[in-house]
Amino acid sequence: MSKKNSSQMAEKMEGNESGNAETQEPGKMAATVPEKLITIDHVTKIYRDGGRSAVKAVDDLCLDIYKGETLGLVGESGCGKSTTGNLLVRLLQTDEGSITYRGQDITKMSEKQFHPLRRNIQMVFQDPYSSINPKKKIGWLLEEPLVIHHKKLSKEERQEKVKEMLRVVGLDEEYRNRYPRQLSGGQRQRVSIALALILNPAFIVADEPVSALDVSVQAQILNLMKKLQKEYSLTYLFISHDLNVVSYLSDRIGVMYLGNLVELGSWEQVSTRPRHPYTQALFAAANAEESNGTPLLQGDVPSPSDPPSGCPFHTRCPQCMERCRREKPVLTEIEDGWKAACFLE
Amino acid sequence: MKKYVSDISFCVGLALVSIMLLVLCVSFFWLPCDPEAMSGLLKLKPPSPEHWLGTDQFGRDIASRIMKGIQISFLIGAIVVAAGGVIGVLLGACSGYFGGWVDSVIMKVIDAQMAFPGVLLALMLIAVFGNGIGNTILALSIMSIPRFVRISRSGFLRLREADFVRAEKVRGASAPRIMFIHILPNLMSELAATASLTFASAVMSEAGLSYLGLGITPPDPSLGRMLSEAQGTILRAPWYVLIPAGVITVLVMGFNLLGDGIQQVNERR
Amino acid sequence: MSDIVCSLQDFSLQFREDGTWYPAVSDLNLEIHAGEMVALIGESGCGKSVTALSLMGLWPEEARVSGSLVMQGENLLAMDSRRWAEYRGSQVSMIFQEPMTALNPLIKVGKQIRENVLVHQHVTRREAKQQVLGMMKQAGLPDVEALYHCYPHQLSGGQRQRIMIAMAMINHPSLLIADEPTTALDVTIQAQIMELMRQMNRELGSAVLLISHDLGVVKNLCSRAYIMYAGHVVESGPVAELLQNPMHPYTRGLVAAIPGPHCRDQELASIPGTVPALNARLQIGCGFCNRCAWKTDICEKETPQLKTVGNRMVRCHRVSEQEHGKRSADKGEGLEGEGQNSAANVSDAEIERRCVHV
Repeated sequence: MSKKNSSQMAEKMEGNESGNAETQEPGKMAATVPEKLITIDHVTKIYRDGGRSAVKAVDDLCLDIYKGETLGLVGESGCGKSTTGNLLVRLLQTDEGSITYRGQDITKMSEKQFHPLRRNIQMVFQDPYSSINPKKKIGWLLEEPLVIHHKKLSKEERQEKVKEMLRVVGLDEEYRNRYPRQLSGGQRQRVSIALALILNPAFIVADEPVSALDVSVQAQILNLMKKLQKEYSLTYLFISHDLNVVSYLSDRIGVMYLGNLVELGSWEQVSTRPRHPYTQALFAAANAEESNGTPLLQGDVPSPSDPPSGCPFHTRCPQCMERCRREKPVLTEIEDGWKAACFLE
Repeated sequence: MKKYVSDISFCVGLALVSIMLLVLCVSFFWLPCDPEAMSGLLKLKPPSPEHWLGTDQFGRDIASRIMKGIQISFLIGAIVVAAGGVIGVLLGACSGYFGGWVDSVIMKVIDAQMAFPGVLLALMLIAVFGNGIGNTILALSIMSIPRFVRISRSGFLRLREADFVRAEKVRGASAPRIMFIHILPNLMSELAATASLTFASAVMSEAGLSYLGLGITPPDPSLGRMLSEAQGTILRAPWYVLIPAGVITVLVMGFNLLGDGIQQVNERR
Repeated sequence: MSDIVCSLQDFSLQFREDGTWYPAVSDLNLEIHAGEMVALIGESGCGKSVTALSLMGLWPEEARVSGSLVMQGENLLAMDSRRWAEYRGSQVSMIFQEPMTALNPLIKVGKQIRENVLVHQHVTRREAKQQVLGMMKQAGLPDVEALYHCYPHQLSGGQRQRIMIAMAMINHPSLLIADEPTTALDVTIQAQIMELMRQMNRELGSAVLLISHDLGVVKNLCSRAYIMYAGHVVESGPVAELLQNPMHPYTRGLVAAIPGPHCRDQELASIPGTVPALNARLQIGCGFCNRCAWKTDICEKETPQLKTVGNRMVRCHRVSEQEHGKRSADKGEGLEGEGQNSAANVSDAEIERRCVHV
């Protein structure tokens, strides 16, 4: 009975799996070149404050996200990593450049055109307390995305799907009838993940999903995210300030500083042999006792509304040269797929 | 609910309002006498077993007229709150959620209305359209709109950037869905307080207008009109003044305390 | 004996909820020696912040406090409000997680620090200002004359925390309580503030009680640590040993739950469930037993006492001196991961390997 139900349901949820098959050219599966899911091309986002001051939150960002990978984005507060995440789910509009999802430019679409794509691009938020409507029951909340995106499903089918989703994220079915305030932080974050996952997305932006949680609960959520990635062949953009978490989960790591991507490479390259002085300082600060040789980074991050000339990092860089003050380095390839924006390379 | 019960002004307000509601319910099924039956023999009689609260200068039973008057007060209060609430929340929701020029236009109109004294506005409307219950309700409803607009606007403005609203946007929820299914329930307790306070001021304004002879037209009994009719006989029949005045006080105080109580509990949270 | 700055004996603190008293902290024994850096570790709701606030006399009004709180030979529970006012800010001071909320936004930061001097020392305003400028310099702030006249919002997060530290240290307290001092800061700034705290401790000799959930920070700063769970100290001892060879199952779980590049290929060991709410805590038995993989019958019936194992203290029925010795051979018995899907048993060897990376 339930099996029949779920197969019918799969048909009705006209969706992402079949969509995948269409876009994949035959024979490409076997190829070693990974498929680009998202291409961020020279994207700039400027926050304007009533025309008085303008802050470049993201400055000419170029980044590809491949199918099935976890791309970790790290940096300090105000570096533009969360803005990048919000641009990808269109909570913010891009000012310049384009973002393409499977070849479709989502920055040029109207909200109506983008609507069907929303179910493929989902997001998990940082704070499990504020990101769930406190006045609605968990079951109602989980059903809602299906009501919005899969109008053909009957009430029973939707509820079946809700139950299944709760099981997938490790919660009891009975949680359907609870209000968010009756759940702990970890349980709420599981609900958040279920909410993002119930539409069968291909891509999930996870914006600091564990930083509001206790260490032991954080591990549960990280395990869950890793498990789900395998089961549902998800692609993650994992935004975090915690280098331990990022280097545990990510396949590739991008490091941002003042709106600029300063280094990008595989987790191994970036976390064990960082090339950009900022990345070096970041990892040294995280593993403080191994850093006795490395000098601590002095000073504060400059204000994004008044960024330094030349290389954005030159005001704090221990290896600053004359050239860094005048010219801005571009992201250049060091090795295959490993890039850094520094004149030292 | 438990939090509200622990608040003293909420409890007192609720008790007063409940008494009035009880009288209201009874009045639908039973009145001591016909409120419009006059009698030359019974002019300005003090309270007695037949006429519990005495009679007025036309010999009508005051108790029955008070009960009828309470009906009218509740009718006006309820319609004013409902009409002003629906229109006010709609305007406030659009204003707060969409912002931009929608917000500027709505708020300019509301500000202009608020700059105009409410009673003057009511007087003007009544002068143009004539008095009567319908026009009184219309005037009072228009007066009550700005309050609801301001409260709901600030609520929508605050919650439109809330994480759960952003999460709904990512899931593809439409603007009306976000506004009325997600944000509005979170503002219910604030709006309940406003509704209660608006109810009280509507009852008060109706009494004031009727007192001036501009609100409810005779023979409909109205608490305010009874007050103005009674003032000529204040020394001969003090009960005739005290009773409608007391009922107005209880009604207005009840709803004001109730509203204040809800507000205080909300703020404490 | 005289070098003990602060000692808590059988300290308990209870909150009232719906007519019942619930213990937020129970039977806490804690000692801090002069000049020492000690950590109080635990997850949110474990009672670590309430303990710290109690040392400042800031327990909530509706709480019931028992046991003894002794600071430099003086019983804090017997102090009146005048004595408290003298004591706070001079003998003990505190820095908080979010410096912006702990500073008055309408008063220049220099004045706020100077106020602290004027309250506790008999000096003129000019002398006080000189002291403040000196302390600000010592706290690593640049251009102190200009910063003295800044308002809190004009400073960066790191600078504000330096101001807080300067304010806390200005009267040379014997104990500095730091409640998550680096949690709200960026990684590179975090490292600067930790270095500053270490330097202040060295130069001024104040003992430090660090409240934190971050084992990495604790390892960098402190020599000894107390680990709290649900109001109890479950394990205490030298930090390096605690992290290298955790004995209590909770500590083992905490250590193993830290992610990093070294354990990418495996599932993280996590402690199932969550910290029980105050009113859901077990009154009898071990507070951790419903999340514990080592649980036996006795854990449910009897509250374990702190016992000494070597130079450490552990509150667990299953840990004893002998068992501790032979446990490394007994690898099957470890912590279970979450749910049925991950029977991720963490062996001692595994824990040791991970601890290196904390």
